[in-house]
Amino acid sequence: MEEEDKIEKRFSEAFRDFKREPSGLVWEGLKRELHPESKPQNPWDRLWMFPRHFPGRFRLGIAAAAAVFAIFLGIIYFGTASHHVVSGHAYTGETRMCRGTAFLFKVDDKVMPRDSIVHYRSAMVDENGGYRFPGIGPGEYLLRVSPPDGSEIASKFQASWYDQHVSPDSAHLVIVGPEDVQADVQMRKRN
Amino acid sequence: MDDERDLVKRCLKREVKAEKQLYDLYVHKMFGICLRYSGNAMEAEDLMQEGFLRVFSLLHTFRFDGSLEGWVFHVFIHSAINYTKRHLRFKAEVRLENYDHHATFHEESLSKLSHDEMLKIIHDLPPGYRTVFNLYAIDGYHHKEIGKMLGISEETSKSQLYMAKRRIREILIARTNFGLHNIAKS
Repeated sequence: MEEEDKIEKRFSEAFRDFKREPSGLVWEGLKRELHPESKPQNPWDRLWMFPRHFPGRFRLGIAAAAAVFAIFLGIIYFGTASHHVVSGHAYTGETRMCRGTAFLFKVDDKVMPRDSIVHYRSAMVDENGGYRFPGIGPGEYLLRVSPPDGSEIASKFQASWYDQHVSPDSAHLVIVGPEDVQADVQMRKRN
Repeated sequence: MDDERDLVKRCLKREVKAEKQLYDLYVHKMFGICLRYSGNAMEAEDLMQEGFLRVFSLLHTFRFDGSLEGWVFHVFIHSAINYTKRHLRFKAEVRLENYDHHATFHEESLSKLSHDEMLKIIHDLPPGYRTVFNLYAIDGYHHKEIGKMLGISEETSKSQLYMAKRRIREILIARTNFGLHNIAKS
């Protein structure tokens, strides 16, 4: 027998009843093609973005992580969308104050003397006298700027409330509404 | 036979359960066919899906004058041929140079080939050789039938079969002479 004939015989015999199992995806794909109108049969199958052969726990994990992430993004978005920036400069006479600390207090009552002033944020005053409080929600605030401790400025000027007051009861309110707020503080000279 | 008739009727009513039953009945054998006619397992799964879609869409033409298995087999062969025809133009035919007519291979290198090794050899054949080799050597079609199915002459079918066997022989000779036992696995 010629070698080519032996090859033919061998392959013919070997593959006469040859069987193999394909992956389960073939039936799933076929079913979708045959019945495109059919709806998924259980809630898991409604998560169409996950291949159906993925284990349930894996799908649960992915779904939970996606939900948490979506909630987190929602909080970030809706939590900051209505917030604004309170910024300004501190002045010592005609010049800007170099360094210091700015404090923002939340005002919760309308009665004088105020007894519900809660410290809300602090910010450093830069070398140009500037300070900035980002992400401030709507409401009423009091702003206080103090000169740098132990400095020559501190010996001449005292901590002052917006706009040029030494007491929170007489200080002007910083009202944060639908826009950013610019609030400058004129430092009061020591007596 | 009555069961078969009932199954076909239910499939024609588009009952998913019946379709799955028919699929399960022939899936293993038909996938074996798809593996032989395709270039790899992924292509085989594509072909498998295409073949069953064809089976279900043509099922109303089945007249129960032969076995359902034979009919499904026939549909699959035609699907495989269509699939091959579509892909034929994209795959280059590689010519064998310096063919040694006097060299021989060791009997064992043929008899000890596993199914996977044989499949790899078949997959490595150019699509034209592979289709004719499958149709003639394994599925038992004649060159005249093959010519009609593939739209080629009987002589072309013969030469494709000859080239396919020559290619396989060369692989076996390489395995014998150089001990390249992994050639089909690579």
